[in-house]
Amino acid sequence: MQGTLRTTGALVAKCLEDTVKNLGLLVICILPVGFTVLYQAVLGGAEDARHVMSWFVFPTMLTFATTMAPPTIALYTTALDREKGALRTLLLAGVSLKRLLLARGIASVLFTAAVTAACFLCAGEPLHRLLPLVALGAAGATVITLLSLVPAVFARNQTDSSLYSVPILFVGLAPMFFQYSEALIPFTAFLPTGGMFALAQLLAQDALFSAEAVLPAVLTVAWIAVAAIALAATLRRAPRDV
Amino acid sequence: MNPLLSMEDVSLSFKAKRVLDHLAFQVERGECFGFLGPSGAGKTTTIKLLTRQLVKDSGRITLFGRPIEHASNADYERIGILSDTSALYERMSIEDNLRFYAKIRGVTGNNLPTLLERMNLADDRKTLIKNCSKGMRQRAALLAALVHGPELLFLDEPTSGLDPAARAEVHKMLRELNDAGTTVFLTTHDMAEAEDLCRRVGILDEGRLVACDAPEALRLRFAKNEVLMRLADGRVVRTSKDAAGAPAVAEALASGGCLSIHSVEPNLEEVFLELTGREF
Repeated sequence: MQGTLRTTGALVAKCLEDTVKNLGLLVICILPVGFTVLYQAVLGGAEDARHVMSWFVFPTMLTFATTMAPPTIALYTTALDREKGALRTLLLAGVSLKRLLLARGIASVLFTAAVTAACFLCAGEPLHRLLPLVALGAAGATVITLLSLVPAVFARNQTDSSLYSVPILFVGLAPMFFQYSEALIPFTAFLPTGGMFALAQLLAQDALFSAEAVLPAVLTVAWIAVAAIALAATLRRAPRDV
Repeated sequence: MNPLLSMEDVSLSFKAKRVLDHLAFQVERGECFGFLGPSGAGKTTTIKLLTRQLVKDSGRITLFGRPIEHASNADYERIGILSDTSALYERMSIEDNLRFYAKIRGVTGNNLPTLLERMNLADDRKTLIKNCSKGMRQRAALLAALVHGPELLFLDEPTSGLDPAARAEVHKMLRELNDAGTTVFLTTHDMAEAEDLCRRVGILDEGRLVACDAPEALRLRFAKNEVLMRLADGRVVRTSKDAAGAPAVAEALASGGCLSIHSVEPNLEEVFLELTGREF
């Protein structure tokens, strides 16, 4: 047990270190922070815009944060390591693909939570909303991370990972775009990050623990379960020879 | 005595192509065993079966005396593997890579300075892998397979692409490890390497093991019944190794003009030709 924790801890730490040290990856992952700073600069000063800031920016920056970092950390880095041969070396050192993907997943959720917190601090919102927002970010990141790990099982190289990340990006950002159509708004919560999006809107109104939060919360948990089952099924079909 | 590693009647096909055909051999504890064969013979495939990267179609493989299907994670902690495509993390230094693998393996890494010194990488330990030459990368990858002090080493073409000096360093290290009790299973297409390092070699051709014995014994098996004498006057005299050749040998020795006498044995490449009818 101690060995498992030690190895997983070392892999998580390495994954986070790789993300921070790779400028290209780091920029992609912290783009949501830049977005928040921009919105704060444009909207934050006006008194009457404060409410708009929370209600619009909270779910939007959360959607960005939970969609940009996970495919980068979970999918792209795994494909890159496979392409360079480093993944094979790791697997031959006794690290199972399952454990490796678990570590990537944990790193992805932790990093996204940190980005969410950074976005929040840049937004200048009341501090009592911080922890709930980070929790929502972690939940949304878990869905997108699990979905990103599915193609990570097979992605052979950076090109594959770029291709596979496109539908994930669309799926992750979809709640934002649904807001522009009256016909689609009612279906937002049913999207993989839609539940998180809806809960963030409720948080902006300090109504996170109201009855309206039940359905989006249940849908978020359901999406986590669906994505986890998809990943487990994919791992059963994973090639032994990576 | 139970062999440390064995294959019995193992076959494997990829779609319609038979890549390993009824392979059978054993490796004893403390032995350095080489798999020798041309490209495409099945050497890497054999290592992949032994390290569970591939699954056999038929036959039996044992590792540490147990069927490979029952090999535990603890068994694989006693093994070090260097594959033909092993690579370390390019954005980390040699030393940082090795420390990472030591952590993964659950060892302290206190032996790293010694390992780096033995592989002549101590001065370059802070060099990023992406800035290392192929030889340095290969040696560093080998150290990553050794960092936890394995009992059994699988090495797939360990000196591939290395210059003679680097190859000599790797050979020296492998000999030291083997002398200290580490069992080594290596694949190579380099005859000289097989003869230099291995107590026994298995010669693989198109997935079949065509011979398995000590290099010396293989050469003697196909040795010609000939003795070659080089004389001081520049002549080369060939005579038979039996009693019929004794007078010629005696005459050369008595004349005082005999520079050298040696038997005529094939090298492993010629052994391969004898066994398969094809060049290596």
